Amino acid sequence: MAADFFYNKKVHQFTKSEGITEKNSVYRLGLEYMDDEDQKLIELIDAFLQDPNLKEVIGLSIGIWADAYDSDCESIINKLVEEKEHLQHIEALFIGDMDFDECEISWIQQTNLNAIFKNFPNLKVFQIKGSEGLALGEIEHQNLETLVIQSGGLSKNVLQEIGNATLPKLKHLELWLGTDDYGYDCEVEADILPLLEDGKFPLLFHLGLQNCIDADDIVQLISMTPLQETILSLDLSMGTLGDKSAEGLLNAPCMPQLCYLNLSSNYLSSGIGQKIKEKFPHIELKMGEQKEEDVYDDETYRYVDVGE
Amino acid sequence: MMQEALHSYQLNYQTIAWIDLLSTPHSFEELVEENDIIKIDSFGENFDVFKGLLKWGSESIKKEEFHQISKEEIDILPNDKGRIQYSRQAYLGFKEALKFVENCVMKKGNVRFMNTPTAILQMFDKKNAHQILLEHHVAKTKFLGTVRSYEELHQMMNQAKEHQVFIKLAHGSSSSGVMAYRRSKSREVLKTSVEIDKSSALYNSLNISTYRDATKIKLIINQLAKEHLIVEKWEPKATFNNKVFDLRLVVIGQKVEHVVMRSSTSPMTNLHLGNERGDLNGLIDYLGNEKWEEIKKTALQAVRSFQGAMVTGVDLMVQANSHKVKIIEVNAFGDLVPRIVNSEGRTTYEEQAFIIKSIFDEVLT
Repeated sequence: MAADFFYNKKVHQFTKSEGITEKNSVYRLGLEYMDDEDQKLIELIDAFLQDPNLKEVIGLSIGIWADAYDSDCESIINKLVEEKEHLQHIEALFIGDMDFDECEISWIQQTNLNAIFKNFPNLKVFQIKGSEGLALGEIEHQNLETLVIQSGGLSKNVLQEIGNATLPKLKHLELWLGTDDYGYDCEVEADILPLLEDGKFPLLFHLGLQNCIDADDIVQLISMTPLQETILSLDLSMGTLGDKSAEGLLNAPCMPQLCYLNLSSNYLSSGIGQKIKEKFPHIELKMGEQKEEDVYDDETYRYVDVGE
Repeated sequence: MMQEALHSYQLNYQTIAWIDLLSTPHSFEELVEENDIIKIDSFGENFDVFKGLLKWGSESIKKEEFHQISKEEIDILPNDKGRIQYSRQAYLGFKEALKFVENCVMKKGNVRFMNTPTAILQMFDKKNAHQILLEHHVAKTKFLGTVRSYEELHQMMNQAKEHQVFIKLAHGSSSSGVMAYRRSKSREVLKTSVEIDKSSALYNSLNISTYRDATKIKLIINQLAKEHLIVEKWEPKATFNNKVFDLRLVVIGQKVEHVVMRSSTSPMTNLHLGNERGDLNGLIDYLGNEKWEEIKKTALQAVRSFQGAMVTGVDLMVQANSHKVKIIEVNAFGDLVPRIVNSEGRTTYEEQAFIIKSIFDEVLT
């Protein structure tokens, strides 16, 4: 169970026997085990759709589908699209809600999720976990406020699709970029810069470029490139950021506008945190716990938090 | 710590170290007296004790095919810290030693055990423990069997239609030799605190390593399979605060009063692997009182399955998504939960001393 909470609400596991009992709630539809059959998930979705309290559910999370480590979720997405008229009240959708105890994040077989953007115009929050096989297609959505992709290795294709997206209401963009061992193949300047373009997401408030093997390059980019002034919150946690690159933040054009900066779980010293705090006392800086480099045969290694 | 607790309750006690019991067993025979209460504690990680156990087990292991060492070789066995080897033989030695203790006690009359040798041995044999829990209809993780090789493991997983399993030493304590293994059509991954060196010797480490190379995974599993291995379904644990968790519930005299929540970002939750104690009160709030009562009830039911067990550490998981409660295992030496006290302010050791005192007081009045 990846998320105990989604859309700021406790996630309830939907079962046929209990049905929907909570108002204004978030439910997860998923198999108990990977080794169950997909048919059962479709049946579960049917039972969910027929529940008299369906309208009480505002957030829907799709957890385990059969053999999610080998088989994609296309049939599940198709089912959601077929039944879309019953699901238009859903405000938040999560596809791939599994944690590492259930499936390696890099093994989760995603699919083309373009149909979600096309058929659920009322969605406010869309979260995706796992990026193998993931495509988003041409994205145009008038109401989406939050887009989150949690990945051990995001491909440049997906980043380009986001770079080309039309998401006028997007406020929160969170991308776990991962590492090249698991599909990350971005060139920071070519693929990240388009996301930072002024007016690209005119209402963007929070930007997360997390869990990135190229965290140093990303910070260097941010140190030179102004961020749209609506961005008040920046999350660069879970990556491989070191002091040298982080120094660049001291002169980054975005710093005066930021209210919140998360640098947790990188490779930073407390000294750099202190410098940032002193120069920008208005920023709520989160340093959390920092990692230590591994040394093998005189070579140092840094790892992202979720590289699997 | 047990001694301090006994001392503070003004109880007279004598201790015999494992090494003395193993090397000069008659010293125990002389020590034990009528009306005694005996607590058998863990033999720990002392290398001389380990060698002593191997010697005690050197006859009975001969009937088996597991990794073994002769009496003569034991004497010259180097102290290779953390190395995993001869785990079955050490268990068989432990069994002989406990049988000896039981026999000595039978001669004396009216001597009681906190945990009887039989109960300890049942808990120390993970295969046997699974069977006992199954017979008593205790909700537990699924036992798939024992394996002697990587190939057998794959056949077992095919047959059972399981894609992820835990592989454990049948007689290992804490995380020693525990491996979390999963595979898909095209990939496999092994997560474990076991490390392998160039000569294929296996060691326990304090870090979790992730192996993705099939050749290496096969080598590790085949090496460890020379010991006695059991396989369980790897049932996903529920998360709380974005970490998976399980619980160690210490059961003393049919009461659960000392609980530790262990949170982890890896499949191994043992605290000595750098995992944290979680926020138990927060968890109880999250799961609800009804679930919490079910957890305690299940732990008690598990302990009752082992006749003669009075002080145990129950490892229990709450399953992801469904929140089903399942016993992982019951530990005979599971009462080490530092700084945790019950509502009376007593630690696990103080609680045991308190119970022992009540037993004696009853006898006297």
